[in-house]
Amino acid sequence: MKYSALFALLFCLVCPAAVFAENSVDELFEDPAPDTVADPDSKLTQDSLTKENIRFFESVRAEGYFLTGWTREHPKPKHSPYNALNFSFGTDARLDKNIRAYASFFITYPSFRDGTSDNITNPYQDLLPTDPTLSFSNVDVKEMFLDYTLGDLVFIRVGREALTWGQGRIFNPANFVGALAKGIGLKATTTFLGLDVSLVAMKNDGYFKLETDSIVDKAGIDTLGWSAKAEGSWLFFTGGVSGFHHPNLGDKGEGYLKTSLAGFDLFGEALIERKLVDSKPAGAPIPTAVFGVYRELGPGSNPWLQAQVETMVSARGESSAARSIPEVARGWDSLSLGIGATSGLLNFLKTKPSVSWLHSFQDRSGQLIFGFSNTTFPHIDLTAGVVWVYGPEDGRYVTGNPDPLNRRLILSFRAIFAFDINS
Amino acid sequence: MKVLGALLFFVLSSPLVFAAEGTAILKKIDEQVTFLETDYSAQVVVVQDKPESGKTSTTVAVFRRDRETKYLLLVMAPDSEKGKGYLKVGNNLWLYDPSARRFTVTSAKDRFQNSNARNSDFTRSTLATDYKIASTRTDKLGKFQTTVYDLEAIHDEVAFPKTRIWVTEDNLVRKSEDYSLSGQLLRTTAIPSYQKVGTRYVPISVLIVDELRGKTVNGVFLHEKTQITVTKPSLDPLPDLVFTQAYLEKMGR
Repeated sequence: MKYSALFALLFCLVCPAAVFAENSVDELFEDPAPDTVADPDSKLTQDSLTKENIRFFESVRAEGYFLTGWTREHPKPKHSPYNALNFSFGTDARLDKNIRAYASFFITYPSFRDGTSDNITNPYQDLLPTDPTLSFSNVDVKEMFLDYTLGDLVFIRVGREALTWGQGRIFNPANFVGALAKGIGLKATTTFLGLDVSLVAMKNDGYFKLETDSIVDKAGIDTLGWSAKAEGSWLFFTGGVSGFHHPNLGDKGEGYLKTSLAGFDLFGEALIERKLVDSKPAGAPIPTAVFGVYRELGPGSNPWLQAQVETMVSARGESSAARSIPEVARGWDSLSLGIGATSGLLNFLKTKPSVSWLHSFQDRSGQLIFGFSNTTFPHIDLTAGVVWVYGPEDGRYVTGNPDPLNRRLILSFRAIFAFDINS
Repeated sequence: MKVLGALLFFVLSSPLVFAAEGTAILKKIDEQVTFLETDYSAQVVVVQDKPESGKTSTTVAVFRRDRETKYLLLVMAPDSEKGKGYLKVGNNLWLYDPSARRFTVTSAKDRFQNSNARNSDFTRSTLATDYKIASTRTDKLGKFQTTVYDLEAIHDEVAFPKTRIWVTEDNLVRKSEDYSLSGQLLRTTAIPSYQKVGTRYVPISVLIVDELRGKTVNGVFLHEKTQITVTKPSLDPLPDLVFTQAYLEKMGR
């Protein structure tokens, strides 16, 4: 008898859902509303979706963060407090289903931050200023473009926009259109033979000047960068090709294939590029390849793990992170590994732990980060991270350490206060 | 001998006949909510009720071209999510993030906007190609007289390996229960009322109850729920551009 009571108690403890479940959905069928005929005058139309009165929006974001850490040379930790402000505002107007104008601007403190990055997997990398100048920026343009849809066939966007191509979440060498975020361009997108096709012409003197001293900036068509992309889906595969051409930078071509297998998203991407000077080849073809896996684990609306692993092998050698195309192929001696993971196990505490590890097999340098983000309080995002930068002084991730004090082991604490207004 | 042959034929062919009949039944159920001759669009409000964090509402525009196995879901509200989009062409799903202006392709994001709904809840019904009927019985569901079909998946691309549906005489699914392979009830869906659009039907509202997730409050287990309300259904033809990446870019905030 006592065992029966014990079992009953145990059953109640382990199966609360079964014992104390709320009213079942069956009650909905006791007296349901009758089936009806839809009102033919109440339809979702393209006009109702696209026509919108002019909309204004603004976003305010204030950050305070504190870093402490150790360099190789100094046994005592060095402490650094920072703060940053970002004020963004803009307007969006859709006159009819064919035309739209959009602009967003920002002012930041310190002046060199663009205030747009918020990498939860890597709470450290986006925090640190590389320039000690403490001044507000001028009003800068984040995005400004005009859209026009030509006969429901071709979508055209003219202006500046943040645009990302390429498949890698960690290593993304195929983002040929990143320059557009700092310049202006014309993009036309349509479908052809079942493929999504985009053509982009970019004008960005500042970005292209960075590549090489030999570029002579002229107001001619040869200062334009051109990109094109075609993507499509067949059976269980999605694939695409894209290319880039600039007469003084070089040619780039890319192809990728993506699929899913047993819940894993898999992709492979191959890239080949060649330096040009005055439209003539000035170096050897440089190959690069990226392979990646992405996986979510756990049922329901909150997976307990989101993980990604990518590896990149390149003949770029030491210049693999630079935008410029090297003239000499170094062989397949540059192998990098990137792992990122975020867990939803602590969602009930509004806390999200994450880990990120980047490693170069070529020079044995790397960056390992553990971070926590907490959003218990409205409008406040609290982040804590531990960062370890390792490897030789000339290693990629050591020379790329964004900390101006070159600390190797860092504790990072950050608080962000933010809110958005739309009208 | 002829009798024996006929008996043997009957015994051997009856499972095939039953399977063919089952497929025909499921096809009829699919046809009631599938638009093969026209495009389909509607506005859908998804209210997610999580006992631990309250209610959140998402408004989404749904565009379907069932004959080409295409759909596009465009988030219209709240502002923080506005412009996010899902474009499915065949077996491949594109996600569009308007803040990064980037497309990604994935199979892992089959849940819609962190709710208990799945993207497949907004698209054409494919019971006949995904499941076979394992057993049949009749049941009274409130005021409805229904036939209950226990279904088993015939391939592993479906979200739920087993499902049970309550179907009224007009071939409309009024209730469904989705099970794991081990037979655990994962979620229950109720569709008490439909609205007729052309010659087909669209739910007026759908209630999805997550049988695993929730929170115990004052001794009562409160399930996570998702309420879906469908308004403004239309069968008007849609431009081809709607089912492209360009459309998501155009509509992005």
